[in-house]
Amino acid sequence: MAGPTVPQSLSRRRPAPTGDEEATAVLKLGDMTDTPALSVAECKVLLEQLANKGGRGTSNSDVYTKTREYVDMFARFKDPKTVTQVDAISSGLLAKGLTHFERAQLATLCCDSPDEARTLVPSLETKLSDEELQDVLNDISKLRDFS
Amino acid sequence: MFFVKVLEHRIHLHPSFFGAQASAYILDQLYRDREGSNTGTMMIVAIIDVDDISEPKIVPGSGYAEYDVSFRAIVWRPFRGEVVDGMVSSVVNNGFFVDVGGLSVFVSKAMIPQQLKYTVEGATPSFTDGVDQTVERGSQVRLRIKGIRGEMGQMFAIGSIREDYLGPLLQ
Repeated sequence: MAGPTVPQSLSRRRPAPTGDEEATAVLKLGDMTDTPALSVAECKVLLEQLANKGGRGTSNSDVYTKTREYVDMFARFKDPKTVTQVDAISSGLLAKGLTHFERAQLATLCCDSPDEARTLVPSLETKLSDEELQDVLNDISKLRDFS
Repeated sequence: MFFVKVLEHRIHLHPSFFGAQASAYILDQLYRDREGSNTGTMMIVAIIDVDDISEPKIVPGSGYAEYDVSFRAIVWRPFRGEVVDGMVSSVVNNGFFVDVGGLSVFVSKAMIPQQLKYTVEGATPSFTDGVDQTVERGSQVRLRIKGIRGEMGQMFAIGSIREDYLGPLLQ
């Protein structure tokens, strides 16, 4: 089999993924349903905090390095205070029936119009009215950092 | 998509480590085993903290102590149908590769709009429509993940930019 050899596994077998997880018009997230999701900017802030906390904050693994570069490049909000504000705005949506996944997608993709948001996150189709969605998108864009 | 997930891991401790530093050794082992690992469906980016280390149980026959450690970690799991942003790492004549964190997504020519054609200028291959949209090494692109395949330790994915609001992002 291609790839690095994995040592004889000493941990209990993980449950096999059902294989039909998808995030299209219907959200089937498998064992990630109801798991809190992070937008790219939130992840950046969290990784920075973990690294600054010292101790075992950072690792040299490929996955970690590439992920840090990725979040640094694609975070739409650089300042932790702004990220908290965006979180507050989008958390109001959780009460309106959005899932964690959809909330994090809206905070990551920073759409300009309700049409764009519905196209990129198809499961939003019937969950919010156009005005509500436009309001949230406007609030989020005001906080965007264009530097 | 990044998630904060509570995960469990079973660690075996050799009897020579039974002592005051046992818990420190278990944490070391946990970080070494899990942080930065790719299970084939998700990548564990960083461990946030450890929730609980169970009471040890001696494994009959081998003398090792077995601990069940429960911890919270930032994991990254791609979903089919999810829209993500990424950076183009290479362009070939039948598509291009995009790096989305630790995952390399291939966008084939069939999933690229007709207007974007493969051109080579000097030594730089790119997909461009000649006007304002160009996809070349280093460009940022928004794509939708169309399919994912996972093996232990690696993930492969294909994506598409052939839809509204997808494609190269304005820098």
